[in-house]
Amino acid sequence: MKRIAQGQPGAIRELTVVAGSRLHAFAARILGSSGDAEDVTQEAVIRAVRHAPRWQPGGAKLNTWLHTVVLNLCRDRLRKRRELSGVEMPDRADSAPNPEQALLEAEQARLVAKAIGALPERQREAIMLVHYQDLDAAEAAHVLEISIEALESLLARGRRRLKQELLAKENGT
Amino acid sequence: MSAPREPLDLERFKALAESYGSSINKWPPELQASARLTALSPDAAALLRNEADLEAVLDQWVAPSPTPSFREQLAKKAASVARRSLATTRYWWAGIGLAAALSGAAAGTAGTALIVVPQQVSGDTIFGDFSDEGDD
Repeated sequence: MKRIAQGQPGAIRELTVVAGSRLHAFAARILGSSGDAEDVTQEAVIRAVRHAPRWQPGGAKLNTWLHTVVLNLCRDRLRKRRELSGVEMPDRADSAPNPEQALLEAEQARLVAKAIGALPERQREAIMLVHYQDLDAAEAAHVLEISIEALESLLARGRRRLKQELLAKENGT
Repeated sequence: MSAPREPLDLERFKALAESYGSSINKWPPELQASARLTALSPDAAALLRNEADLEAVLDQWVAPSPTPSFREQLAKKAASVARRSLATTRYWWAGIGLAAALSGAAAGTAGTALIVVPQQVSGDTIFGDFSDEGDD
């Protein structure tokens, strides 16, 4: 962050490369839209750059901080979508036809997206952070602002449900 | 990471595997070393394999990639914001420096005034004394 605050091009490029892949993937999975994910990713990167001069080295890791910002931005977008639609809809628009869904070519991928989209919000977020974003227990708990024990419970319930949905189907049961 | 004293019991290992999955690196740091000892047992290894099966299925959901120009645009935008932010910081520091210099100058002027005024009072007094003498 110090190098970003100093305006070093290498540091900024490094940030944007990471953001352009991992953070975008995170937002895209939550929002179900690559375009929306680009907007959210850009906003998170800009916030990081603006925040860089005030960064406290002893605080959260940059990766954890960025995931927190992206998750909050995604939650805002999902809330607005719900308000606009006027009904309580699934957070992931997994049944709506959109270009992003078309990218999920394999039937199995669609099933996975659908199963994860059907999870309760907090379980879904926990699984996104730990499985797809590779955050460890402490980082994911920090992003979700919950204890490690609460994270463990969310993950266990989410994974149990996914096993029932996905492994049972895969085994033809 | 400290050396493990003893392996985790299988029940706790199972609970952790079913929460965090097959990669022990993602488990709470203080339990990882003990968990690795437990993982040497066939039962624990089987638990990890079960979790890995789920993860293999989850990995089939690949997130869409951003548009090809996105990363380039993002880098440009971030660099532009960083330059503006840096310029603003320098501007503020320059402003603080100027303010400090001005306050220093003001303090110096005030200090000089405090020194000069008594001399003038003293001069007037002397002059007054002479006048008084002349009038007499």
